[in-house]
Amino acid sequence: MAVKPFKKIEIIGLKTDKTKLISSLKRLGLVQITNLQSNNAINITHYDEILDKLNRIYDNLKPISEKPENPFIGERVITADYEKDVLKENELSDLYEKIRKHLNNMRERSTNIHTLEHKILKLQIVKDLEVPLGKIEDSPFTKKRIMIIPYGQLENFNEIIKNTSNLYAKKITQVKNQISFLIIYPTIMEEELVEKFSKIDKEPYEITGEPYAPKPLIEKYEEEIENNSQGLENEKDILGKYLKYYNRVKISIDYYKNELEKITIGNNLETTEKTFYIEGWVPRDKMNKVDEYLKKTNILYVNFREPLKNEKVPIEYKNAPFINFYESITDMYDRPNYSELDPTPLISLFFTFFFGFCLTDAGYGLIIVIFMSFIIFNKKTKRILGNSIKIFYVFFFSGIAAMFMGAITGGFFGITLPQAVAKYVPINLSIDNLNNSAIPFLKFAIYLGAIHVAFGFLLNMIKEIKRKNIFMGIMQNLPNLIIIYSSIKLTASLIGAEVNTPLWLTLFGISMILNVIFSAPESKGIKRILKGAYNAFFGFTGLMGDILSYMRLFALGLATGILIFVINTVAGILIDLLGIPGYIFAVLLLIVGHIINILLNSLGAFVHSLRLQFVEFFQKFFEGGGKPYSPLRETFKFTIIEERKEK
Amino acid sequence: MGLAWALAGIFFAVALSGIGSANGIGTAGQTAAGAMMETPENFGKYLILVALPGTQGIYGFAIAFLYLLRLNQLHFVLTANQGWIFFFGALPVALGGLGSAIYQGRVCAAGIMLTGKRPNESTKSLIMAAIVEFYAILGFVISFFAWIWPLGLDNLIKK
Repeated sequence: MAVKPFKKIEIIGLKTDKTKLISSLKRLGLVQITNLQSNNAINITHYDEILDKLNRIYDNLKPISEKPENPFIGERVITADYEKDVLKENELSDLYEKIRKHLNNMRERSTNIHTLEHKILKLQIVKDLEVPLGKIEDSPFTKKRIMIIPYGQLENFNEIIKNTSNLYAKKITQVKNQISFLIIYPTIMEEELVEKFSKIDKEPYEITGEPYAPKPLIEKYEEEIENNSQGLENEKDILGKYLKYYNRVKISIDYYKNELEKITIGNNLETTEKTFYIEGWVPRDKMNKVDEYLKKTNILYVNFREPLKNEKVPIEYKNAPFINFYESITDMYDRPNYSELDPTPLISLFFTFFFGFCLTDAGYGLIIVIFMSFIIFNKKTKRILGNSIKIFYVFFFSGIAAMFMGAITGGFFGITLPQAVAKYVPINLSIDNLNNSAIPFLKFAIYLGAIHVAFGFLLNMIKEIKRKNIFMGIMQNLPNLIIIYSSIKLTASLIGAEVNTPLWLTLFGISMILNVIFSAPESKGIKRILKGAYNAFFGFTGLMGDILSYMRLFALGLATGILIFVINTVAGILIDLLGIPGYIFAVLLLIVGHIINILLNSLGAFVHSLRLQFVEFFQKFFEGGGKPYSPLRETFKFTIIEERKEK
Repeated sequence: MGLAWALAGIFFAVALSGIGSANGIGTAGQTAAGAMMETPENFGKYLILVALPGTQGIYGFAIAFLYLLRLNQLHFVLTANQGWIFFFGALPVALGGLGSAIYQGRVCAAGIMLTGKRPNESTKSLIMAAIVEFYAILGFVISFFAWIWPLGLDNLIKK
């Protein structure tokens, strides 16, 4: 239940060995450096340029590369020794120069196509004009203008034409909801007409000096687009020849990013004129390995020591298989700090069971188990998913819990159990038997809640005892444990069970008094008692609220069962109504209905089981605030190293 | 008269919780659509938050179905008192579902915005949303016991 113990490591070495040592530490992947100074100005332009070139090549090759076949691998490349595949700097420069020429050509052709398309779009509105636009010129006494009239303004336009003498207008083209007109009028009317038309003409049509009429001009542009598209395709084909470098480019991005990080770290270390100093964290169980590794290098001094009280130690979980899959659940809330207990072992039990409780169907559990098995027992997906595989294990075990709960409640796709089997089912939740089984099922959920909350207080007590705060640790938690148990006993006596009521009432009273005395130790005198009474009262009501919150397990489990029953009943009705064709619809309904029900109820089961951990359980003891252990190591975005050859 | 009240209860259980779910999903869905303009890669996370307010409609539907079963058992012949029990028995899931789904939709919408900015925090948004849903669950439990418990319908039906 504890997190991994850590040792502080201190290293002093010669500046000349700095980069080599950082490379070694990166390869080793065990030391988390803590004394980096971020204010050192460094020159990393060289690596920035390399990465810029690589990223440009990558961005342009990516659209023409084949789509990844395996969604889990995605774009990543599996390689055995990635340094061998890295593009050397001169190789990269040659490749970039060659590709750049084609990239420039492609950009130019794309721009041309775009410009021509825009021109065609503009010409469409006057495409029926039979004279070249360039020939529509003003004379000393007349003005010529092309007007684009929105359909809604046509009436106003006709009105102006009708009421203005010496104005000639000819319709050119109608496109969608616009009509173009050629209008000719005496120059002296310019001012008057500009004012009249200003309300209906969207924007003046620009008359360019092209020597062709619009239709042949459009054809000419279309031909040019065709040529440019062809050219673009040719360039893409040529660029396609460089796809053989695609994987190497991706690997190189990873390599040079790691190189850049080495340089950055090296420049941010504390140094003297001739030496550098590294301070960091190493898991205690890896201390010897790091020590031996460092002895093979030329460092001057290495020391391991225990963490000081005020030092912020990174957190690495230390859990057995099965429990470690649930670390991702703890991380969803926060990571425990160095001085507290890791709640993951208890989460692994309770979360799994709660999930199963919410589904309560062995058939649904079986489907989840089968589906998850395809992912977790496939070596390839396991390697590629890395740490992310943990959540799939969580669902796998939760599916097993659902099968277990299905066995307890007699749920298997809502099929009615034969009488001979049903009598052995402890809480038979079939619809016919809900009158008898609902209350025991609810009690089961509430008892489970009481146990879960009690574990919260127990963990808090252990944590305080471990911190040498023994008396207050016991006095602030033990009364709550007694309150939970005595409340259950007293409730049972209220509904007629045989219970030693005076004993439990006395214990309950003593525990409440202890809560009054010890729940506000920071206050003094009467203030302490008043504050303590307030805390004890609202602590008790809160505690009861927390336990009743586990009723959700009952409700969700029941809702899943009822919906299964609904799906099966409606499928039965379809068969009764439609006969043979009804079987087809019934099978479809059963498949689709149950899949949707599994998805929706699994979502509910996941979310509500999480909430019970985070809200009802964690609030009793968990502080969090731990930062994950992140040692200096090589990071890869695109590269999956299959088998590392140690050098 | 009893049958009319009972049918009204069943109607409200499905309709109100359904309206609540539709509203909640609508609110969350609109936010998700907007968020996807910037971060389409978070679609999976958004989808979970959009789907969450749908549960209340399902609770209402499940209760309505159970009540219909009971009506069928009674051959659709009810006293006025039985009708009242059906009606008020259905109201907790109907109104609890309506209110909680609408507010859960808003929490999910805020959660979607949070997820858009910080994808790693999406689980915390789910927990916030689950807290709102608890009140629909309480409604479901009471409506269920109105169907089953000694003081509820079952007892009255036996009389």
